[in-house]
Amino acid sequence: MGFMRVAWAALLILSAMGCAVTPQTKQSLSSYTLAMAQVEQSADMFLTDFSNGLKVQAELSSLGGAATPPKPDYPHTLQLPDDGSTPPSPAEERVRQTRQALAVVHAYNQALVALAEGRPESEIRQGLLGLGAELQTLAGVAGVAFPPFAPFVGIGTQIIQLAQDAANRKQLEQAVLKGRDPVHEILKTLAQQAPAMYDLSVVGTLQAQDRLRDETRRTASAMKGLVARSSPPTDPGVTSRVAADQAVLDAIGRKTNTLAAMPVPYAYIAGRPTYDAATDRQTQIFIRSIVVSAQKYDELIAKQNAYHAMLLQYVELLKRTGEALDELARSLTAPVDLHAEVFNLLRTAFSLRDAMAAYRHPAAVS
Amino acid sequence: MSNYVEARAKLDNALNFVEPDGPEWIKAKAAIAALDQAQVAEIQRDFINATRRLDDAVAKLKAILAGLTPDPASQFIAEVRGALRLITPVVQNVEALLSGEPASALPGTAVSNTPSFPTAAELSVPPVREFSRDIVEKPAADISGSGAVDAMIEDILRREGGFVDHPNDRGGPTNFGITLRSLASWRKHDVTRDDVRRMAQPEARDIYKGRYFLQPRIDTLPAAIQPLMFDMCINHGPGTAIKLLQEVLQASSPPCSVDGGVGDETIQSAAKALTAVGPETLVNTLVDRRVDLFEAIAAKDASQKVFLKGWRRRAEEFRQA
Repeated sequence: MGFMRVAWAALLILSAMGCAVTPQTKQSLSSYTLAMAQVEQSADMFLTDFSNGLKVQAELSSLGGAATPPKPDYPHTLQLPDDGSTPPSPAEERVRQTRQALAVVHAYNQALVALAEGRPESEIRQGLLGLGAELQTLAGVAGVAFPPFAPFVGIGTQIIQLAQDAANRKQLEQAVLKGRDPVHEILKTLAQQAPAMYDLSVVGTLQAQDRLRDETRRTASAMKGLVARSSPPTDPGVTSRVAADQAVLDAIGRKTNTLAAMPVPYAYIAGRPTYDAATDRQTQIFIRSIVVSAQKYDELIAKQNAYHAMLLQYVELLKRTGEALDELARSLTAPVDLHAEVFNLLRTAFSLRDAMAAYRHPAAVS
Repeated sequence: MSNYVEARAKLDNALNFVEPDGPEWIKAKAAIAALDQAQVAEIQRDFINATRRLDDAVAKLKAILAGLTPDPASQFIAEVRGALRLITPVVQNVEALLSGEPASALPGTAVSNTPSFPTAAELSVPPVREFSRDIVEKPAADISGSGAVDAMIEDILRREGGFVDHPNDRGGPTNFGITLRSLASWRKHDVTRDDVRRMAQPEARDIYKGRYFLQPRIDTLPAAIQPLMFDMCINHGPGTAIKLLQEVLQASSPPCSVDGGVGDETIQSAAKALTAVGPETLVNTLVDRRVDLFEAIAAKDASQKVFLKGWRRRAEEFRQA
């Protein structure tokens, strides 16, 4: 995973502690960088989801909506390519700008690291090159141009040069402090995007539920036709089985809003052959199909809930990251007790990591 | 949002009472689709509004980072460091020659010294091409790492030599194969002949990797042709190099479009061609086309004939037996 390696590149720079910074600053810098790596990783996932969602909706819109077209469930790491026939929508342009903003924040964080650690030029350069390569790989996967790459290396060269002596470190410190406001603005923007991201995910989930309901209704309709070829069962065993099946169909119908379409109760027609064990075996095939759709319906709900939990954690992490940045900036010039801040930040980052795991494996969500 | 969900649920409920896929069903579905479209349009507006202030923030942050300028004292220190970098390869070359290895080109000299040094074959060490082949035989996933790129850059540095300012060289002053124009474009400001001369090797490596390997997406091509394509990108420019490849791939089925950019079509065509004809044929065909191009340049402009021999030799280094 590209962003894990990006995080690694950041941590590489952090790993060997060097010069005259306070332990508090080192600790907060580590936490801030870890948190930002998590922000980037999750923002990338949400932006990819959102961008894919827009593309899928545009595709559905072009089909006119008369039928229920198939829609594969794309993995969230795969960014659907632009087909090139139409320019990207204004919202997709905004997605690209957001990615660029994240890249710029990353460069800013590199400046923070260079300032606080005074790392040797070769290691900083290696980290920046690794980062540039990762971004380019990401651009390759995404199938889009990634404009910040070239400026990044340029900025990196400047940072290396600037981090090498005290006079420039002072200048850089001022730049870092001045950079707090725009970074806050970017973090705030990411948080403000979250509701729209969630709303689009809801549209996608409702459409996926439609497809399952439609399957259920079609199956129920065929099942009604089968039952209508029979008169009521006379075998007590079959009668008891039918009662149990109807309870299952009733529960599924209520849960999925398809009750009115369900064959509950079975509409037998007097005078037809008796509903016997052989007919019941055919009916079971239909019921199994309805049960499978209902299970998928449950999975969709679990997945949507996990997405909701994850977005909440993401917004919380953005907030905590902003607070950690403030503390970090303060710690550059004064001793600050960062224990509580660091603990909260890491706890939030880990919660988001767990929420992401739950989203990827919705069946594990209770 | 809740209004949308509610309205949608009502329409969906109607589907319980009509024949699946019948005319009434289709009407209800169209109404649901229209609701979805309206909702998506609103979501897009929300997203755009939420992102509105991003441009300002990015511009401010970029300005802060770009506004960092070294003070005169550190500029001096940087120049001393630059001078040290220029001296280091000389020392390394002496050490290399003493131990019987091929020497690298010296930056900062008036002409490229590569031809005057013994070739690798004469020194009885594996020639450069053998080294490259060792790389290309590895699977693509392995060679995309920075180690493989660095090895390719080493090869290229050996070929390119140091500072050259030949009056007939259309690229003008060139150091490590980087022209004045390329350096200006990389640094995003005008540069002088002296800037080119003083350029340190690490920056040349950055330019090679960023501008001629990653940016034109050479890393996405099959491993077997990456070293040659990388070298061609540096020598001819990425657009021309990729067009040459695409022209070769036009013979494949389906033919590859010639647009000078590496996209999915080029990647797939190259992979197919590699499977169909094998790495040697594909690489050698590319070498042939490259030689053709060099000859065409020399035929068109007599002043370029002086370079033809060196160009050919450079292209032939990649030919596979």
